[in-house]
Amino acid sequence: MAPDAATREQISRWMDGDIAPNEIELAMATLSREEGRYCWAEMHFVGDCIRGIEHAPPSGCADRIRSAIAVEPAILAPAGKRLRQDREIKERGLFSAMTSMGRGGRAWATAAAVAAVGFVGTVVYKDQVSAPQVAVAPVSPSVGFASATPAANAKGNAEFNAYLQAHQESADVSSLSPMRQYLRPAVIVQAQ
Amino acid sequence: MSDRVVDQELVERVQAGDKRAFDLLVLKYQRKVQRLVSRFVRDSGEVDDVVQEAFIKAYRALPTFRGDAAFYTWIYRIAINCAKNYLASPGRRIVPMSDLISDDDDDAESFDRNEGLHDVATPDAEYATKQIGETVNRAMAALPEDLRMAVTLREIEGLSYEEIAEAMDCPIGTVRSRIFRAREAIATELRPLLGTREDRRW
Repeated sequence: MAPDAATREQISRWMDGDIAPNEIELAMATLSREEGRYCWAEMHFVGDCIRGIEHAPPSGCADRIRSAIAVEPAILAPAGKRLRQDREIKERGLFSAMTSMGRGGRAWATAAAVAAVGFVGTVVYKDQVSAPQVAVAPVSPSVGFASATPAANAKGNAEFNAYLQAHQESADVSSLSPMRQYLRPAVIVQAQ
Repeated sequence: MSDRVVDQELVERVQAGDKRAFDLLVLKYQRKVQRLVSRFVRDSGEVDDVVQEAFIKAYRALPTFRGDAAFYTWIYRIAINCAKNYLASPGRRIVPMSDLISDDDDDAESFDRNEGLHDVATPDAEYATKQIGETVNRAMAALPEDLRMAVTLREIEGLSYEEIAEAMDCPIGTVRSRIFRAREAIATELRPLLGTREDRRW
């Protein structure tokens, strides 16, 4: 049975991208039926004829491809869903995306947010408490790790020390203060 | 939602296991891809073989398609590679690349300058093609002015419905209706040339 005029008009505007997000499921359901597919093909054929892309009668190529695809395994690529979610986050904002995650997704997102806030709060609090006791180690011509003194590592340490010294000279130390307790301690070893 | 977003929606459906969505993409792009491949390959049967191979390769590669580029540029590139591989296969006559297009030219719309380069249609096919072209032109000419303008702005100029509504100073619902009625009028004229619905193959 051919689709009625209202459905054909819907397909006409769908093929032009005139479709609301809440119509997508309806569109796919309509187009997945044989009469919807037929109408979609016919409308695109008319469009191609108007543009002068094709005036030859259909060759049946699409039907052949459909038969060939029918024996191919169905694709189950998680990338598609993930990409769609990324786009939703961009288009609708984080809050809207969270609401579409479902109960489990919202719970995880909330837990992650609470953990992040707790982590940052702990770091800032500890930094404030211990700030007076922290002193920036003086830069010396030769620095090294206290635990990295074996002779076998001397060459590597020398190279790293040069890098570390340059970094300490150029880095904004104040911006690192909240994270200082997590940094690998750079114990200064005075040159012999 | 733009035309490209519709394609991306279909692509994501395929990536989620919906083969019917891929069929809709094939129906949409098969003629453009056919025309592209026909610039490389002479025989129309061989053109269809290459087009089929291109779409099957695209289907298999779809899990890696991220949507950074438009689907149609992606499928055009695959089709061009399939055509070149086909020409390079043993036993195939190699068409000098100077007769073809540059590597950077992967848009089927830009192949008009090579129109007729490899047209070797049979007399029957040429007659059918001529009939369809004349019918479309006649149907377009017979359309009321507002319908013709609306469908021309959409199909040839590529304007969105909003832009057409602004250009024609009418509500967007009127634009939808005019474009649909224009397409219906042309489709009605074309149907007798395309055979009955039962024996028509896309």
